Amino acid sequence: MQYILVPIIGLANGIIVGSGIVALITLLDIVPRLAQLTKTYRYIREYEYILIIGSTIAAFLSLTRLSLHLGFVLVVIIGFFNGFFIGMLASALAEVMNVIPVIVRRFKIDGYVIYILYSLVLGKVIGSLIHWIFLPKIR
Amino acid sequence: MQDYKEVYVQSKGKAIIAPKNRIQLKEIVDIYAKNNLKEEIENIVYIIEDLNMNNTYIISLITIVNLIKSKFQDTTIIVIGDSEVVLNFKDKHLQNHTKYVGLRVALISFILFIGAITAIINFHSDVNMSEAHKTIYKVVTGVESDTPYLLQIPYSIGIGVGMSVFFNHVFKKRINNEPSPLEVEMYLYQQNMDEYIKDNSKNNK
Repeated sequence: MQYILVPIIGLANGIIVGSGIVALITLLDIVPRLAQLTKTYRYIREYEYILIIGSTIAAFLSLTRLSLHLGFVLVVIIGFFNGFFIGMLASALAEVMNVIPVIVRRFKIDGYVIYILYSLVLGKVIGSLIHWIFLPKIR
Repeated sequence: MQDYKEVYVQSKGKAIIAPKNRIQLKEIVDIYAKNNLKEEIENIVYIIEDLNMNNTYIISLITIVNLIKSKFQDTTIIVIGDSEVVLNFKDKHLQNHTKYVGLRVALISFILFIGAITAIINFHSDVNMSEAHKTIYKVVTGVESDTPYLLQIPYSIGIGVGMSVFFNHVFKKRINNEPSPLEVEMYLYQQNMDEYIKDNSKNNK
């Protein structure tokens, strides 16, 4: 009985979580934005597939004890693109997009948006570095 | 049977002019009419009472139609498009605005800088990013590490690059002529403000 029930429960779990991940990625306009920048609207379908494949492989690998043994160069590249994606995610969040126009209006600094933007960008980078390098030592 | 002359009037939408009480119609609307009539109408003066520099004035085209009609009774006036003009005055004290602008920008940049540091640390704790990184590190290299710097430092730099790409600022020349998301957002915000001012001044009339 349990050999029937447990896979069904697992599958149901996976379907819901998968929907959630897709919603998270698509709702924040990251894929359309990248397609717009690279002018590859025609390949949206391929992007969908790659998201599905990536999520599935990652879900499997992160839950098992398997490792790929791919070496340290690849980990640097993966780290960079991981950050790249999170950076786009953070930019697309409503906070950033809604706060900047308000600030620019309030303080009458029309020509200086780029400085505002780069304060945020640098803050995120440095904050991230602080988190990884200094916080483990404090604990 | 009088021969009516046609006058077409179109709102300029948003007009920003030097502060003065007496505004010529051509500053706030576009007019089409027969040659000499056009000039005469353009030079009609619209008077604003109780001029306040910092106010935004909403001028309904009906009042402009009234004005033209009172001067030229034998005209038919056709309004094209928007029925209001949003009128703002150029700041006389523009120097005052640019005076401390560097200071203001520096202050806000500092606030946002500190805020962004806090926000990203909060975010990482929220989603337990360190656990995720350890997992990725273990999966890719097969080595377990509590501080996978090889993954995390490129990750941090990647955040900055990703944000820059999202806002279209990483390549100085635009990759394409489409506006960046932030520009769209600013435009929408401005538009909403104008809409709000229009609607609310209508209720006060």
